[in-house]
Amino acid sequence: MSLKFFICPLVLLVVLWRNIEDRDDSRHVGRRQWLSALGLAGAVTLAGCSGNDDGGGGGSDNSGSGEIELPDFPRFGVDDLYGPDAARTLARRAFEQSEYDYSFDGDAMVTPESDQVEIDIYHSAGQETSQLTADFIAQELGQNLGINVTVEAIDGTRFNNEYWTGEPQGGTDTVNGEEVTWENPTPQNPGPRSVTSNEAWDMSIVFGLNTYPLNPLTNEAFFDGANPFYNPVGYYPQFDAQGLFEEARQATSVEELRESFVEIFENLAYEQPYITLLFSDDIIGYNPELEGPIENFSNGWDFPAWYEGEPNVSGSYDTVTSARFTTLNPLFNTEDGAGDAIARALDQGYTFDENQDYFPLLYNMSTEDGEVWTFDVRESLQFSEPYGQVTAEDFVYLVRELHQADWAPTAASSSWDGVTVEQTGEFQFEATLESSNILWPKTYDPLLYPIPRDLVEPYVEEEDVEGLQQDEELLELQFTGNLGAYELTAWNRGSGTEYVRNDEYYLRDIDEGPDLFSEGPLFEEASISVVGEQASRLGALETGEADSAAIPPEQYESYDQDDSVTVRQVPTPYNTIISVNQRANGWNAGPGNLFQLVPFRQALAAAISKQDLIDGVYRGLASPHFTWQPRWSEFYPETDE
Amino acid sequence: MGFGRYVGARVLWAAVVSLIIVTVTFLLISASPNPAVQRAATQAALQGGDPATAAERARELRGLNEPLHVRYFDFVRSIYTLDWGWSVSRSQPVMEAVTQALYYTAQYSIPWTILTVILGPLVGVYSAANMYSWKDHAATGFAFFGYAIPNFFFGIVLLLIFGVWLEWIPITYNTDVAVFSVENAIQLAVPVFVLVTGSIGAVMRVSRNESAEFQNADFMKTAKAKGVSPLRAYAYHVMRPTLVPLSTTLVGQLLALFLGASLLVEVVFAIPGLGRLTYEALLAQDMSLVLGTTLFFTFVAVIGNLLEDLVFTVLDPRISFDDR
Repeated sequence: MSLKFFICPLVLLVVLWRNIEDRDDSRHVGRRQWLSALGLAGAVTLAGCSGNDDGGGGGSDNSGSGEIELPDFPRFGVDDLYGPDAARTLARRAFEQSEYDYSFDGDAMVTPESDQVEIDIYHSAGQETSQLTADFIAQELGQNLGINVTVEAIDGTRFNNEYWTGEPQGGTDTVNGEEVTWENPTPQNPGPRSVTSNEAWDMSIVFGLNTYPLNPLTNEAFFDGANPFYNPVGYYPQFDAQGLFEEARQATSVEELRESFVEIFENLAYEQPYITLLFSDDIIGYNPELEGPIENFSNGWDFPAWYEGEPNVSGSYDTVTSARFTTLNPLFNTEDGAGDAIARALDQGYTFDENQDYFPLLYNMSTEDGEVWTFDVRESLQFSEPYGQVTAEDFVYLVRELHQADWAPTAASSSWDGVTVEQTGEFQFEATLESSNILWPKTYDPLLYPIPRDLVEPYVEEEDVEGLQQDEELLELQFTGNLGAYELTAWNRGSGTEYVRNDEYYLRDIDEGPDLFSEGPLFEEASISVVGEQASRLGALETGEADSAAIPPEQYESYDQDDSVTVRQVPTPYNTIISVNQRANGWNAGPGNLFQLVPFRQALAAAISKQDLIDGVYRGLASPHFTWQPRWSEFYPETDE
Repeated sequence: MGFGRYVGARVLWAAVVSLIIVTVTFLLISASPNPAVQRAATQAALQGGDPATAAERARELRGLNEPLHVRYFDFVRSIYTLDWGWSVSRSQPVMEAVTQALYYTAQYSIPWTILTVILGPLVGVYSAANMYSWKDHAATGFAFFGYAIPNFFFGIVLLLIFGVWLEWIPITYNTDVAVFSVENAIQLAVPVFVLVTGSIGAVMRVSRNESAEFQNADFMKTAKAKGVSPLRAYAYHVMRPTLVPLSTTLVGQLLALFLGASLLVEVVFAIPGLGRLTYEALLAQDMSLVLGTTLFFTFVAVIGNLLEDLVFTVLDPRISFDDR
């Protein structure tokens, strides 16, 4: 629902990592879950996961000597591009490119010193799915490429600090024959490949990343040349990534954009900067009486039209969450969960419907050229007294005096850098970007909360950050007038939030959207309870105390067969990838770094069966991942299928 | 030394101990970097500003440029006037966070403590009175079962049986119900049961062994010879001396339980109490709140020890004020 919080690139690492932790943590805690404890859910074993049914051992040195022709959009890890033949053929291409004498000796891949290649893979400690995935990868690389992989568990924070990030040093290197300078090194891309983290490492599945399917331009943070904002693995694109991203930035139509992106994503599928494995789904259990949830990335966009049983106003919509909220102050919140809690009582500017199309909430956005954007604010919006009507002035003041102010570290401050905002009417304002971006709304950058100017003005004059952060009206959402589906009645810091229906909700009078918006919201009350223990959250879902709760994948089947719960699989843009360390402290098996060679990364991708991984470890609740977009993205390269 | 002077001296000593703790805490905090200043510097760096200026400004705003002794007196004043700062991980004053959490913790910990303190020695003395009979073995078995089974696991199993299968108790803790209401009693019954079974074991075993010493003592033989009823004999002549050594360890034990056992039970039963507050403050590195909860437990320990010293003199008249 509050997608804003995983899209903002500046909070990229923190939020993605948290999301991954949350997801994996839920699986980990699920290990202790009482249903598992009582043997109602089976344990996953790796038996039969391999799918390498043709003799299993990866064949002899003679296998894989055939030729492989890779299409423009190769899909490694399935069909012809999976198995020992494909993997070994690709690996041999890498050996030819390498200045060192790697080879196959029987089943085993060997170093120039004739030792079997041995490398490490790190996974998140204590997280079952992560460990099973690492074990599966080790098994596949052993069987199909003859590599001896050691599986190691590591704490996420430690991996981030010691392995994933490095001291920003900058420097220069020759990439594709041209000299490249690291002018703005970051911990996540501290410099050329010679600049490394403290600790050496080979492969990792500790972190996954976002693929930004709505606004793929954000992926320039990962792939815009060798020196983008975020490149911990030291990947140097061998295609003209910067040129193609520049083309995408200059595009004035979606068709032009698609053209650039398809080329980028075909190249990424080919070069495998990270070995793409899969996109796992969020599994959410709902009260079976509930009408509204959809198996779509935009699930929840039409929440005011959701109802239980009959489409009339009744009952209470109660959910449970694992983490309590740090703040409900809309200016400073950066948490997904708290974003949902705020969203119950306060709408943001717009959302995206089930077709991922822009849907105006507080304001409509339009543009001619992608550079100057006009915001038309609805005239029916009211703050609580004494703040009166919401006007363009409130938004312009918010952006100029808070989001663009040096002294106020608001959550949206990075979104408004370099944007010129001007009021052009009582209910209209314009934003001029530094360069054209026809996907600007999809970056979520122009997403604003309505905040009364009169409320924040005293703090702005004093430049009082702490006062602003601690303001009770902001923290308790007391100014929200008719701007949200519900009114917040209580926020108990330890146990959650409670709401009552907002009878004045402005959405009831708009022309767009489902008919039921005119009645919305369709519950008398709502609540979000903080329940730390997963077993308790699931118990609440089963007994009907909660209308919705996340379900760990290992319990999907038992809940899917349970009449008291309806299970939905909601696709996500977060991927599971193998990060291969192409920096100087990667590849600790021998001389040279084979991870730097495209054919070797292709060989790794071809050695791992995506479908077997999905079926064996993820119980079918994931989709294969071939390039840096999920299949449902409009920028996914066309295929014959 | 009279009782009045003894109490006065103990209270004064408790005040000195608390001041020493507050002073050491202040020195440790002064020596560590301030997270708010670091945040301001990071923010400035991200926005292209000068981190050093931002840090300096943040220090100025928080009065960190003042001399050490001024800051020390400010700190001591805020601690003793209960102005414990702002919790950034909960967006509320620390004092409010602690009192809110204490409100929920007290609701289960008071019945838990009372039941442990009453039932533990009772079962122990009963066991001793029936030593090596099946009653003793049953009581010992019960005590060891409660002691051995992890509270959080036992809690989940009971929640599964009584919450999910039988639906007698709610799964999610409701903070809205009145303290003295049937609903509250129902939702707290299982957490209290789990905690009592967890804590009763140690108390019961100590009192069993202690009371075994006294039941054959001369004064017991005298009492029996005088025709004192067994109930009175055990209550007055066995229980009372048994409680003296027991009370020396009780405060420490219960404090450890409050933090450890109550955290897990609070997580399982979703009770927003002190255990979770402390744990989450530590995870979130919320300095003010960590300090607040730590000081709270420290003060409880200081006051607990004070009460313990006073209770000694009441329980055992042989303990002299002059030696202490």
